[in-house]
Amino acid sequence: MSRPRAPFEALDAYQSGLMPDAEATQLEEELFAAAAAGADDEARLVDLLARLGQFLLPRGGWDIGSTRARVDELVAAGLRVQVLSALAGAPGEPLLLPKIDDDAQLVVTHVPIDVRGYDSVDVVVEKLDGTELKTFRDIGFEPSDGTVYALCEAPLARIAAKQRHVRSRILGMRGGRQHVVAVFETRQD
Amino acid sequence: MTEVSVQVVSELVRAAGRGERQAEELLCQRFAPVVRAFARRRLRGRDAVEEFAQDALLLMIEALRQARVEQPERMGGFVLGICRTLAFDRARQRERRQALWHSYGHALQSVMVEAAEREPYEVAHLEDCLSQLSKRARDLLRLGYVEARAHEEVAAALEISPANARVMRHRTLASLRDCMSQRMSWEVA
Repeated sequence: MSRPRAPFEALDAYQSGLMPDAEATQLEEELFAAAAAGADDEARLVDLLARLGQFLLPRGGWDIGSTRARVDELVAAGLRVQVLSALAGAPGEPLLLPKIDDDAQLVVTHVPIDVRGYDSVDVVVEKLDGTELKTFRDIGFEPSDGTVYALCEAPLARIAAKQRHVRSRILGMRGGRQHVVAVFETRQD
Repeated sequence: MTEVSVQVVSELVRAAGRGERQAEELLCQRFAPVVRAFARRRLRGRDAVEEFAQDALLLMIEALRQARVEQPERMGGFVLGICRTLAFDRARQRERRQALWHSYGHALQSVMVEAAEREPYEVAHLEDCLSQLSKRARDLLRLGYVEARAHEEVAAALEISPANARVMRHRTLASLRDCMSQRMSWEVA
């Protein structure tokens, strides 16, 4: 797709109907030629997002940090949901997370820390040497007690569990300032 | 993202004409994203888009099996022609669809939403990338591409102008593409 518009702009204007018909006709020719050549990257990404996004929606995949009620709904819907509750290790030792069941479809890690009272909350997961692995942005939480039900597809949980011993930092934003809510280490069984 | 076969389209068309089902499947995978893009421009709602895409691809398979693609190297234009014809004649199509689905439906398995269950890595990767976006960016993608809401509706839900929503969508898609083009941080660290 070699158009003067930015890559996603043309596709977006086309799909939303904002692109004039004459321009759209030309873009269609380019889109289908690109698909034939296996070079329709933008259309492919949007399609993947729509298709897999639909799959994830009723499984809580768009909840980045969920609620107890939502977890109960998923269980009631017949999904095999494994809730991992961290067990306290010896003093100074990391919290222990149980092994992920082979037949689990969804994995929920319950983080019993109250994150209420902030405008937004991020969770930074890092290796013990400080190398950042990932930042979960704007996570949701259980409104009754502020704890976090971190929910994801089991295949993702299994991939993440390859990093067996990690440190998590929960960061809250309030009044434009960042506060460290909690720092803890976890070790996956 | 899902690997697209680099095989030349004309070879796939010829192979499909010889009855090679895998070639049909690869052609479906290759054209499904742009066929859906074509449908999104004209139809509202994910079901309508999916129905149109299935119809277009079923007709493509039918043409392949009946060796009606005279210029395999121009397969992109051929598929676009199918889409345009369909768009002009939606009423007649509804009746025909049932018969086509009955005869060729099994060939679409790999490009349907339900196929996501057989793509656990792709689902995990998308979920991993989504969790790194801000809540607002996630909402924008969910409303626009998963729930297929109209452009103005998405902007209103996020309480921003349609122009701002467009810019934000382009940027978010670009970020998502960057994330999806890399391996998950859990794997590389």
